[in-house]
Amino acid sequence: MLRLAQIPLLGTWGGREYAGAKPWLLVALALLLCLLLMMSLALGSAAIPLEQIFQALLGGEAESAAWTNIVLKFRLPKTVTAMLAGMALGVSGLLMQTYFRNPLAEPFVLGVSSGASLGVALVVLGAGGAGGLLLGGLSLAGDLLLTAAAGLGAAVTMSLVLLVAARIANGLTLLILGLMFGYLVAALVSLLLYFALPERIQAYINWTFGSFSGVTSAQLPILAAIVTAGLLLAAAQVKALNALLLSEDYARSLGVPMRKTRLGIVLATALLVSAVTAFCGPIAFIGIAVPHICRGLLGSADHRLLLPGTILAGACVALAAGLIAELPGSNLVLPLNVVTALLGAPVVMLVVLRRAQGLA
Amino acid sequence: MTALETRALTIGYRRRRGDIVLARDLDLQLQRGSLVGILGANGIGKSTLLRTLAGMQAPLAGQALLDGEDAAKLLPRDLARRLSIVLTAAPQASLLNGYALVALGRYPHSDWLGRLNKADHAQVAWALQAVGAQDLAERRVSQLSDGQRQKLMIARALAQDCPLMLLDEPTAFLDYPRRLETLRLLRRLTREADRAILVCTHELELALRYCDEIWLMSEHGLQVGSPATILRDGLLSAAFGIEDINFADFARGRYSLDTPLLQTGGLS
Repeated sequence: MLRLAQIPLLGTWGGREYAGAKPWLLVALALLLCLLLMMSLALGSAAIPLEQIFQALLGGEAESAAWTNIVLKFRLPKTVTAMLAGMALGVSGLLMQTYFRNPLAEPFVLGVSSGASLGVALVVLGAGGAGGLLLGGLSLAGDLLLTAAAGLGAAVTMSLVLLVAARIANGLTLLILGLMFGYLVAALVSLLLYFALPERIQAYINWTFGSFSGVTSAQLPILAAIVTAGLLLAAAQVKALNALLLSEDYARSLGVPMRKTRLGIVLATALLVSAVTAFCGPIAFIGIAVPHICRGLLGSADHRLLLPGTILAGACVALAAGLIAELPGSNLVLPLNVVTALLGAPVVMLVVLRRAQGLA
Repeated sequence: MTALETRALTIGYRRRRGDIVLARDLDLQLQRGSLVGILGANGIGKSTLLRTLAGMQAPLAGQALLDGEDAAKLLPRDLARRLSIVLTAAPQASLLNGYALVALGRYPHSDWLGRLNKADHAQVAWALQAVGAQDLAERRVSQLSDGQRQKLMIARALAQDCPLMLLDEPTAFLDYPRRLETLRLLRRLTREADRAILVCTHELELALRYCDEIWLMSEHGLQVGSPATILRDGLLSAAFGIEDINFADFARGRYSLDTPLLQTGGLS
C-alpha cells in the first residue's frame, strides 16, 4: 500500500489517520484527467488527426489553417473552460458541504447563482433599449453583456452574503438566508419572464442551459485568474475544514479563528461560483455530486485528500459532461445542464440511499 | 497548580432590554489534578458557566483566568492550548477513523496543513491508550456506538494536551455502565495526566462519588464544597427545589425520594 509519507505535501510519519483511505486514486484521477483533456481536444464535429492537434497546440501550423483555427480558437478555450469550471464547482461544493455539515449543500445555496440569474434576466428580459439592441441574435456584444450582467449580479450577491456572514455567527442561519434569497430572486425572475417578449425569454433560457463554449481566448485569462484565486483561498482553509468536520463549537475550541475561516470559505465559494456562472451559466449538479464521488473513491473525509480529489474529479466530470453534450459523431449539441443533471442526480440519489443504509 | 481562576465573573446573556444574569461575582479556583462537578437544575446556568469559561461566550463582567491570563484576551490558538472541551453530542464525523478523530486534537500544535510529526503521533497514541480506545483507532467513527464515540472525543480532548478540560454533560446519551465508566475515567485522568477537569452533569450520584469538589448552582448562587459537605448540609434539596429529596445512604451518596413510589400511584 502506498503510504502518504511518500507524498511530501501530505506526508506524515506512519499516517495511521489515513488507514482505510485510498490516496493513490488521486494519481488515477490525474491520469483520467489527462485522457479526458486529450479527448476533449481531439473529438468534435471536424475530424482532425491527433498529431495535427498537438502540432497546433505546440505553436506550429497544422496542415490546414482551418484545423489550427478550430483547435486554438474553439477546442482549447472550451476544454480549459470546462476544466476550470469543473474544478471551481467541485471545490465550492466541498466547501459548502463541510461548512454547513449538510450532504445536500451546494455552491448555489449562498444565492450567488440566483444573483447572477437576476443580472442576466434584467438585461435579457428588461425593457431597456440597449439590451434589446445588443441582443439581436446571439452577437458577441450580447454575450459580453450577458457575462457582465451575470458577473455583476453575482458580485452584488457575494458582497451581501459576505456582509451577512461577517455578522452572523451561525452556519444554519446563513444557509436558510441563502435559500430564501434564492426564492426571492426566482420570484423576481418569474415576474420578468411573465412580462417579457417570447424571443427574449428564449435568450434567457439559452443562458440557463449552461455552456463551456461561450468563453473566448481573450476572456479565458480572467476566468483562470479568478478560479485560481478561489482555489488558493480554499486550499488555505484545509486545516480548518478538517476541524469543522466535528462542529463549529469544536472547531473554535481547537483554535480555529472562526470569523476569518467563515469569511475565507464564503469568499472562496463566491469567487468560484460567480466566475463560473458569469462565463458558463448556472451549471447544476457538479458542485453537489463531485465531493460525494470523491469521498466515496478516496474513502476519506480528510480535506488534504478531498481538496486535490475534488479539483481533479471536478475537472474530469465537467470535461466528460462537455463531451457527452456534444454527442461526438453527430451535429447535435445537448444543453449542458441536461447532461450534468442526468449524470449528477443518480449519484446524489445513490449517496442518499447508501447513507440511509448506513454504508456511506 | 491553578489551571483556572475566575475573578468577580458574572455570567448570562446580553439582551437589548437588559442583561439576563445567571450567576454573579463568581470567584472560583480549579487546581490541576482535581475533578470538579457542576451540579444544578435545568436552566440554572451550568452550560452558560462552562461556555463562558471555554471562551465560547463573553462574560457579562469579571474575568476568567487561564494559567493567569485573561481568557477573553487570548488568541484562538493560545486558548486552544490551555483548554479543551467535550460536548454532549459526539459528532457524526463519518469516514474519519478513530485515530484521525483523536488526531484533530493536535490542531493547535500542528502546521498550516495539520500534518502530524512524531511527537503528535506519540500524543495521539497515548491519549487513545489512556481512555482505553486503542481498538477503535482504525474503525470508522460512523460505525461506533455513542459511548465509543464519546470515549474518542475525550481522547481527542486529552491529545490537545491542555492543563484544563471542560465537559458539558458528556454522559447524557450513554447507558448507565458507560456513565459510570466515564466519570471513573475522568477521575483517573486527573490523577494520572495531572489535568484539571470540570464536568457539568446531571449524574448526582456519580458526581458525588467521583468528584473532588462540587460547584452547586441554584437560585441562591453558586456553592462550592466537597461532596461530603454538600450531602451533609442538605444543599441538594434546596438547589433542586424538591422538598422530599433525601439521601438515604450518606456513605454511598445515594439519594431517594421520601414518598414511596407505589403510594403515589405511578411514576407521574
